[in-house]
Amino acid sequence: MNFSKTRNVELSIIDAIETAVNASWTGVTTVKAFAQAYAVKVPVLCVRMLSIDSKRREIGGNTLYQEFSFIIDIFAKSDGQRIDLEDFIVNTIKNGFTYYQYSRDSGQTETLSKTANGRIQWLRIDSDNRIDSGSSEDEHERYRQSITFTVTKG
Amino acid sequence: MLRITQAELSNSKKMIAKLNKAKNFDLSDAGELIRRMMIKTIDDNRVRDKKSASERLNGKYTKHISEVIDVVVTRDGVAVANQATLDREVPYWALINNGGVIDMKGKKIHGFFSDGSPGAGGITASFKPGPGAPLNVDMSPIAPMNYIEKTGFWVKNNIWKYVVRAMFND
Repeated sequence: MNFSKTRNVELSIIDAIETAVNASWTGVTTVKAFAQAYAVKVPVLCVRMLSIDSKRREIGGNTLYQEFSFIIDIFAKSDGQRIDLEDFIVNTIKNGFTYYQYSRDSGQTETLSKTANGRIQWLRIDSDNRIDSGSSEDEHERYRQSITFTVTKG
Repeated sequence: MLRITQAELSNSKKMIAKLNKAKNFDLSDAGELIRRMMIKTIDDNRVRDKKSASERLNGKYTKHISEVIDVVVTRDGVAVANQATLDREVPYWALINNGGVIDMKGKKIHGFFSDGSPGAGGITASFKPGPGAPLNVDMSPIAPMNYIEKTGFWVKNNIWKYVVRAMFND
C-alpha cells in the first residue's frame, strides 16, 4: 500500500531531521506528537505538520499546487543548547529534503519501505521564536523554541 | 467597510473572488478579517464545548480570548491582538497557543466538584477550590492549538497580496 503524498512529505521531513540530528548530536530524541515530547527527557525535538494549503496549479486544470507548513518545537536542556539546536535545524531545512515514497505491505504495521522520488523544496521560515512560559519546574518548559517553516513538493 | 460573511471566510475561493472585486479594501478591513480568522481558528479548535467552557477556570477569568483580540491600524501596518492586553485579561493565551504543562508539579489542590464527587467530576461539574479531598493535578500536557501560527499561514497563503496592496494604496 502506497502512502499519500501528504503523509510522504511529513514522513520524509521527520526522517531527514531525525537522521541529521542523530548524525551530529547525541541524546536528542525526535518525536512527531506533542504528548510524546513530554514522555521523554529533554532534549527533544517535536516535528509536526500544521497546515496544508492547496491551490489549483493552472487555470483549467485540476492538479494541485500544495504548500505544507511545519512546526518544530525544541525542548532543550539549556539556553545555549536551545540556540545551537535552532541554528542547526535552520541550516538543515534550508537545503530542502529528499522526497520518499513510503509503502507498507498489508498487515505489516511496523516496517515501512521507502523509495526516493524527487525533492521537497524549502520555501521560507515563517517564524522562529523563543517560548517563554515564565519560571517553570518542568524541564520541558524551561528552554523552548518554536520554528515554523513552509515547504512544497513542487 | 468590506463585508465578508462567515461562509466566505471559511471558503477562501469565494472570499478571494470578493476581494478581487473590492475597490476599497483598506488596512482596517484586513485587520478585521485577520481578527475574525483568528477567532474562528480558536473556535474550530476548541477542546471543551462552549457550555462547559463558559465557566472559564471557575470564573477566575471572566473573558474569553476572542473577546480580547483587537485590531490596531498604524501608519506602518496593522496589528492584531495586543500582547499586553492578552497578558492582563487572558494570561492563558500563550499556554493554549503553545501547549505545555501547568506549572504545578507535585502539588495538590484541595476542593470538590459541584456534582459532589471527590475525584474527577462529570463533564458538566466544575471544580470549586476549598476544603475537601486533595486532588492530584493532572500532569498531561495541554496540546498546542497554534492559533497564532495557523492564522499567520492563512494570511500568507490567502490575503497577503491584498494586505500589501492596502498598505501602499493609502
